[in-house]
Amino acid sequence: MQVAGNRLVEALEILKRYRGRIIDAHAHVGPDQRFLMRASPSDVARVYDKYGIRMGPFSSTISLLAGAREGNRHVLEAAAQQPGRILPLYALNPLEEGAVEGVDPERYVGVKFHPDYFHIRPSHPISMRALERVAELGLPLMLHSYDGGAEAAEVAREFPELVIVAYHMGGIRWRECLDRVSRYDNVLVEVSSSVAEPGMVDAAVEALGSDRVLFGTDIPYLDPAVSLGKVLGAGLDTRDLENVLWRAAERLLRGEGACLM
Amino acid sequence: MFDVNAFVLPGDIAGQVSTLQRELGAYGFRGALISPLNPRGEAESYKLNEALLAALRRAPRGYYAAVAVGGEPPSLGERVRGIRVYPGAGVEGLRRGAELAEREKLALVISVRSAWGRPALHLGSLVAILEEYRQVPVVLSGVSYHEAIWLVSEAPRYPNLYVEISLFHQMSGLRLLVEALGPRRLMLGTAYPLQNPCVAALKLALSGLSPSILQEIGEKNAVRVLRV
Repeated sequence: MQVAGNRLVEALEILKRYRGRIIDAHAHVGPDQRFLMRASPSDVARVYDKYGIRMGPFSSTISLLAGAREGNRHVLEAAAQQPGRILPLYALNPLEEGAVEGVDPERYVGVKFHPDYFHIRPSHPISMRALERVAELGLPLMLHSYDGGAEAAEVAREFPELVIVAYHMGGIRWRECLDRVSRYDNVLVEVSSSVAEPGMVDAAVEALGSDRVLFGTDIPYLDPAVSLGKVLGAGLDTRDLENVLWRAAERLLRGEGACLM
Repeated sequence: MFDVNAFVLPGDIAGQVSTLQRELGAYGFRGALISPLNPRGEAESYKLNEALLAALRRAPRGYYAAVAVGGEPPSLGERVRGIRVYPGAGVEGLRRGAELAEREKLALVISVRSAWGRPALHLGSLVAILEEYRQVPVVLSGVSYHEAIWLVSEAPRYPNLYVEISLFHQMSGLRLLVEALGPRRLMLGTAYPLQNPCVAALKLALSGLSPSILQEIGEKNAVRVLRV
């Protein structure tokens, strides 16, 4: 580009400075032909290299579109192809037989729960029995939250020892989400979504503190530039920016005994 | 860069245009095509169009209006470069917008959606307009991954169709659209103030596309098609 505004130049400089340190708290590996998308392990590596992203916890698109068990196998294969970069999440669909028994903290860094694709609410008694086991194992729960944080808050109240990451920060109802989850110290929010209103990330940091706000991309559904634009366009100070971009995620993963290296 | 998808909301329109110039300017935008956001009914459209045009008469060069269909003032004036149609206008509204755009030799800007999660315009209803008004440049705005297949498989058939990219967020999505449509059919938009302008600026800057393609998408296509 011939002319770049100061804020764009600043954003690009920040990315350069933090290259290789950023942690993506929300990512998918695999194809989704409904939208002509794909993120193979090598695609992930290429995109992460481009944006300077170090690593991220991943679930497989296959766990959403075909079956959790198949997706869990796929994400382990993907992680083996990009070790230390693709960290596998266990997709927990409580309606699938043997789902709870498959949760293995030695192989997965956390648990992914998607109420829409799995066709069951996390607060449903069947789900709650499964989440009790996740809490016992000490794995973080990555919960798709486009409902204004309602389900995240309900699960957080039931399991105060379970760390929950509210993916998408409640979606279009993000203000509601911040209001709902602020009282639960065991809930963090992750900022990716197609909702990119100015002030979202600033408001999250204000409401929860930057150690409870995580950068995430939601690749391949969103390009990393979307969440980076939300975070770098937020006007955070250095401490808050570093917390959001990687420090909070680092603590989350380390705190739960995940092997980062 | 030029933003072909900016909005004002009911309220202090002049103040919003001034803020918009400042916020977009900070990211390197030298101008914008601005519309009232999804006005309710003809009376509100008329009022917001008039207020926007009044504010633009005092704004620096580079800032233009795409007036909302249904409430267009009798004299559109030199700062108007487009007619905007929202999903709620329906097929009748689309046709009315196309007729006006043809008569006034302006672009027709069609919002597929004006906010995330809201009902979108069905793309099938555009086809008749695209075929019947071949001389009218149609800028399709607010497309997301839900429209990806249509954009790749159907859109290339219509040479008068241009795609604005503010809400097209999927990974490597710009590259996909460049391959399907060519770089001369894409235009940069921010959807400000619905969206942080840093998103659009970074999406383009970090797309990995060649500098000449970035210039086409970032500004040249808007200059050529919208005369901005």
